[in-house]
Amino acid sequence: MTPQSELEFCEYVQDTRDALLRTAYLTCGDWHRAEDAVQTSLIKLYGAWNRTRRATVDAYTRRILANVLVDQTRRGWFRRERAFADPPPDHAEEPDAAEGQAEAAAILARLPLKQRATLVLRFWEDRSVEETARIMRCSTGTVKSNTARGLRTLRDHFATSSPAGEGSKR
Amino acid sequence: MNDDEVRGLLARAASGPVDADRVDPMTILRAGRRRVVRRRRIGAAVAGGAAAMLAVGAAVGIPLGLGDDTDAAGSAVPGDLPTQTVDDAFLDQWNRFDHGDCALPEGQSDEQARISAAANQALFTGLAALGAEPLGQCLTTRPDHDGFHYDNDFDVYTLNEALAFGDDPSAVDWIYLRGGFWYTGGEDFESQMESEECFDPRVTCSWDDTEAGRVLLIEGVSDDFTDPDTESGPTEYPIVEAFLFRDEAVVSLGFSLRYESEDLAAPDLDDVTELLLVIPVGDGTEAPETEPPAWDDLTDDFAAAIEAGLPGVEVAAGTAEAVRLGPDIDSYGGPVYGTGDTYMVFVLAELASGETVRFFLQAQVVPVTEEDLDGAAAGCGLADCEQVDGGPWNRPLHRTIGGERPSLTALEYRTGDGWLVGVGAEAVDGGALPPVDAAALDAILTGIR
Repeated sequence: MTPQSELEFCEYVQDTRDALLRTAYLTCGDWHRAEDAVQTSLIKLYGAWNRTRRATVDAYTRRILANVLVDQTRRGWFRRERAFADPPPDHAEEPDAAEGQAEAAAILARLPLKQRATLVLRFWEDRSVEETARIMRCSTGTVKSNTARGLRTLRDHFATSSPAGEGSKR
Repeated sequence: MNDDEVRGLLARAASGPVDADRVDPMTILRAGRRRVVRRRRIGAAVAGGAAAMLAVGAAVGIPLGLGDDTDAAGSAVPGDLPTQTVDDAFLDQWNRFDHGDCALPEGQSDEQARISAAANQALFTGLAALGAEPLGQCLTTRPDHDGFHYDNDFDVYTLNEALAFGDDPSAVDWIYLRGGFWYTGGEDFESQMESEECFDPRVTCSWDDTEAGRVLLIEGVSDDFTDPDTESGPTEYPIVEAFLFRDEAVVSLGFSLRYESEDLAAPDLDDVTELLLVIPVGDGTEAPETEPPAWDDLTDDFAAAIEAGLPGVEVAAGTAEAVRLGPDIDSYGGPVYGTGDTYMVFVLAELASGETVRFFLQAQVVPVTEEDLDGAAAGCGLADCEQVDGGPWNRPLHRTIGGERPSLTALEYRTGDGWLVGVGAEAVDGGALPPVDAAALDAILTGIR
């Protein structure tokens, strides 16, 4: 890779790492795994950087990230390189905000990985059904069914956990 | 729940400070550069034009690193070296999961073979991370193939392996590993396996819950790793064993610990559980994708081991080439690395000092006796060879070749699987030995396998 390409790659990492970390965290529910997945994904992206069209690099990076996160559930145990890293940021510094964040994260954790990943791409990253299907490497029908099932799980949770839940239903 | 409420939920979950500096662009860059050296070129090898180049190159050697890197400077193989046709059977043997030469199982379908291969790939990678290395021996008293294989009689995937364990080469610690997995068809096997495995008062059983399913943990002493009909000797050994009950399959692994060291930490139930969790068994209807072994993988691994063993070195991946030594290797007048059964990989690399060095990997299975260890296979007939301290599983030696192309090589004969493997560094343009010492070569050799 030329020095100019490497500079562009580093700039891309700088500009997108915050968003990628949040997307990865929302998908897997663990900051350690999210950081590991984002690092792994960007290292893979480096190898493909020269062949990647800049117009679609964001979607391509999300595709790599989605695959890494799925792969983590099977192979993550011997990624010991994080064993000596500092612990992730303490999200309990502001108790009220942290409590809301933790509660929201716990609700999302009820969803299976692929339903969660679909909702994150559709509603956090605001991607279309077609784009989500390309990133997840599945059909648009699967995207729609994962979306519907995920929303139903969330809906059922709010309906059973809050007396006012009726008012929040679609 | 409407779209905005979902977005609100996601926004709350993702709220709070993110330490993005933990994803450092320069760290990513360096890791990416290393990975490019290891990048598999299987896609290029089947792309048509590249496949034709390989077909031509196969007559003499396998030129690798097919050209889209910046440092393609021609082959690293010495121009005068006699070579002959490479045989892909070497690659199959080199990539055997158990490092052995046990008979391959009969009667497996292609799908079953792929399921076995996927399970083996994950299991043996996990075992290596624990410091376990297959001994490469073939049991004669029970079925022993290359890791997991499908047993048609019992409709189960099963394995039996012997593994060396730990970092102390002087120790004689080893474990006997048995394992298996079968597809349940929806039937619940938890109660059955608990009653079958836990009735023995010499073992203690407990349960653990994981995301993948419940795990039955068993530890204590057992004699059922020994087949009384075919095997004699001491029968009771400490064991750690576990069964993972997934939705579609039950997976089990058990270690029978044959330890003599007092201080070495044996694998425990946590280790067994973690291994179970990484074995991809699926639902038995479709095998996970696995990549067939390729010459590129061998050179990628060699390049990565060089870079790990010598900080600051830059390997010119485009110069890598795999060859088999010609039958006239001992009479051509240059360095004699081995015999006509020796396979080698040559690659050029630039040291931190700026000097270009030729590194080589040599390997072959050698049925040698201890007396012949420093013989023709190691190229010691025309070189200075010094045996160094090893352990019960290996016989290392250092070889110095003089003359116009001097080199230093770290070699190791592995008594378990019969492999003689060596890593050497050679001057490219003649002159003195390159500044790469035996310790560095030993480190690179350890990183190979």
